[in-house]
Amino acid sequence: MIAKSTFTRRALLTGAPLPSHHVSSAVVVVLPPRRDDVSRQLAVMPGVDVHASDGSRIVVTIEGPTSGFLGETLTRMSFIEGVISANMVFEHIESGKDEPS
Amino acid sequence: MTAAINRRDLLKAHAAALAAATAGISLPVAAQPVAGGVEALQIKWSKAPCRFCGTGCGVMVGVKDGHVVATHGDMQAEVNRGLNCVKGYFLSKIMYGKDRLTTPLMRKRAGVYDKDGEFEPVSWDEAFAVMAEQCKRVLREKGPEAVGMFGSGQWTIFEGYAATKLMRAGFRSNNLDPNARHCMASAAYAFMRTFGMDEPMGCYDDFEHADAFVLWGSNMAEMHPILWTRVADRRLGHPNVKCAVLSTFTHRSMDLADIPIIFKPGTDLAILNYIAHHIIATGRVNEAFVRDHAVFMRGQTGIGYGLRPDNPLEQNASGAAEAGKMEPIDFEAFKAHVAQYTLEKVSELSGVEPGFLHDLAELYADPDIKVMSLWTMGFNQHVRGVWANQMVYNIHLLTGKISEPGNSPFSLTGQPSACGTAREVGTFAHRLPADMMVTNPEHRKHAEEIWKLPHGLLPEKPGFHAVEQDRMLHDGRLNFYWVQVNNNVQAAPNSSNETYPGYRNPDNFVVVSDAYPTVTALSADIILPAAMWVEKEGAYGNAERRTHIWHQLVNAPGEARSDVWQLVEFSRRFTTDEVWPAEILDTNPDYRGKTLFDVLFRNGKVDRFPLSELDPEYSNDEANDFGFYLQKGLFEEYAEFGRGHGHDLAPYDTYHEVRGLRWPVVDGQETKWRYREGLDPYVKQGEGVKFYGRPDGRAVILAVPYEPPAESPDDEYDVWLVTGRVLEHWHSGSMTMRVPELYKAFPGAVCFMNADDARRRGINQGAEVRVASRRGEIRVRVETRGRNRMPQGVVFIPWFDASRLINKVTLDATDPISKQTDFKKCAVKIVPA
Repeated sequence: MIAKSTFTRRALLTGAPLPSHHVSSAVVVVLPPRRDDVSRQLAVMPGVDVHASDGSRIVVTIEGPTSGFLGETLTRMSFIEGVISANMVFEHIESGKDEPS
Repeated sequence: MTAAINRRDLLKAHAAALAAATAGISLPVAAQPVAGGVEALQIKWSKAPCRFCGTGCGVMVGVKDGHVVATHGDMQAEVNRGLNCVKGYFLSKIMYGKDRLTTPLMRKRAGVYDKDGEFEPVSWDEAFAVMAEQCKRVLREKGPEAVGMFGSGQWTIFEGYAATKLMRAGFRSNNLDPNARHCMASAAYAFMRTFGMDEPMGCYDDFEHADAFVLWGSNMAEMHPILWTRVADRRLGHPNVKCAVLSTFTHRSMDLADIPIIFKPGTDLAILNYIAHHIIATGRVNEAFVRDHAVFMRGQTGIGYGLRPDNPLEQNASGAAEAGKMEPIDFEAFKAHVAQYTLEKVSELSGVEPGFLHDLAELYADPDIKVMSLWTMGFNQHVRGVWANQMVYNIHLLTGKISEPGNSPFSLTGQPSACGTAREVGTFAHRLPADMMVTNPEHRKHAEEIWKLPHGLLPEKPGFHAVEQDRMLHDGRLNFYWVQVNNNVQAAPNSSNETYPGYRNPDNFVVVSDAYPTVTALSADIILPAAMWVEKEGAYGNAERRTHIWHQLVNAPGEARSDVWQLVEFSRRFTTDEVWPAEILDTNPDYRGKTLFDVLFRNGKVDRFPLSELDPEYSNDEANDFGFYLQKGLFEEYAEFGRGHGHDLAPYDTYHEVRGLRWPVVDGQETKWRYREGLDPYVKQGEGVKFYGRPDGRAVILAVPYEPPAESPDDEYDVWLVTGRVLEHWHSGSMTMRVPELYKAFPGAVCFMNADDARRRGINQGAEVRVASRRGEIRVRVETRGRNRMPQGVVFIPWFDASRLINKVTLDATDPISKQTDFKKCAVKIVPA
């Protein structure tokens, strides 16, 4: 829950300065009958956009201030009912420095 | 809209396009990637295999200012095609834990080494000087059998190879074993006993060809998430494809199961014999295949449980002395043996609905279904693990469903180089490189020739295996002990009684090399700080025979040094006159007065590649320190063992260019499926299928019975304990527990328990309980919900948590053939704390 205190949708929309900004994409594999329902659940998760879906797969992006926020979001996705797996594909870090680990 | 938002939209579109390409999905026009993509980030990207499990995913590692800042899935890697699981996502952070070890530490009092002293920083020179003095003292007083090393399936190929040379040829001791003994020794023994050669015949390409998947004791959804995604894609993309999942409790992999099977612990053996019976009884044996390519044997029974010899279970085990014995029988005898395992009998024994068992058996029996069997610790960590592995081969061989795309009995692995190092290099107490054995005089002679060493030098007696090493430390018979890349005080069974006391036994001197102060390191007398993963040039071999190499990308912190540097540098401290018998030196006087470094590593082979062959783009601390390209020299000497013998590796430099190659690599081509003509270059025209690892070219179908576990619940200890892993943490957690995000995601072990079982004991969800066995106990919180749903009478506790050492509770029973521990079956009681 570290991310919630530093990252808000409002901050993103207003372009407020953030210490760093991570954008990653992920492929979510779902049971096909659950795809639309899972897509809706994914779409309301903070920082998550659903870009496309087909058959058993949903392509999303996750953005947030830390890789911790992104990883936590990915783990939460993988435990949604109907999700078989959720894996990252690509990450971009917008500022030079990762958050301290 | 600000400029920042536009840029973010662009970044998101780029990221989404890459994911869509990975998933094979076309994006709507509005989300197409922008030409040129994201501009250069001043990050240098290089390839490496992931540091964690045995899947062997390719990752791209981003380095900036000498620091790994990011990792992402490698789009060019066939294994994962750009995907990265959550552990892989945090790879960049495993090297930067706050308590990273950066200097050697020694227990001292009044300025000198003292076993009862406190850890103080020392120089490498002082650490090595004390180590060498202790090692020489033990060799002098007790001989090579009192010297040992415990290594790892996370060792690079070079490290395992240097260790096997130093231990066997240098110190003349076979007391070298890897932690992979706990992990997949049963799989390795079963491969040798069935096919005469280790490792799977198939590969991950089978995922895209199979019509059915059967998980025998594997929770791939959490433990092999990338391979699970390949299974899921096949299952969900093809309506005819079926998935059967067998386990002793309900876990995430069950979500994909068409045939979910929860069986009573240990009864998988009976289920396997029932399937063989079903295949025969319904007339679906592939008779031509069996006639031409198989041979029937009966295994020794009553083989005991690998406990200490004075245990009543061992004294009553009539067949324990020759646990590995197999005697020829014919098909009719095999048929009569499995005919005892009727559907009714096995359903009752296993607690599984007959309908599920029948449907499972049909996946194998139906000649039109290509079936891939997958297993990991449920099979391997089993007091009859070798049998379980062989019984799966039985049903693939009876039906001829083997060695072709989609028909594949496939043993998954849990460590990144369990195959590449522990098995292929041969760091087991009984093995030499390329499947050769220390007990075979021809094999020892061949190794001595390749190593350019005197004949008769290598010891023939197999050394102490993992559990036996702990017992021998405890009993004061193993006195100089070096541990690298593992955390055995946390990982070993019955640890309070059988592991920890040996480390602190005053007769013993224990060295632990690690990157972090694990419980094992803190139990040692000297701690050596280790360089890890991309802080060194490395090579791993994954579960599908894929050899994968990476460059050193960053420098190790402080004075941390790679394990291979530690092994090679330490060899300088010994001369042949100090450690080899006089008679060998008398007949081979040229070896007199040399250091072990001279005869093992500066031998004209390992040192034959000059520094000019290094890639100027990358550092190589070891090469620069020793003055030659150490890793290439070790690899090329090692490769001599396998080339022309079914284990061919490509030239070293090739591996820097590719995302790994599956051996045997012959004429530049990798081999995806072994033992079948047209797919495997070692099978000649007209042979069809040939299991050439065995002299008769035939694989073994083995008749063995169901035998009960070493310990089952009774009135006092009334619950089965199963230990294992969770998605977020890898094995003992020494790396993943230091990634803050993964730590937060799953900060401590819990006891997954059936809600009714808890209620009956007056235990609420989240309450603290004592989990106690005859050996020890821990306190832990109960979880009756969540990702694992337990049947009555079974609890599951993961072992990653160093503050809740579940292995104080487990039983040190092993498979008597493979000597691998059964971490899945012992009896405990659960009481409110």
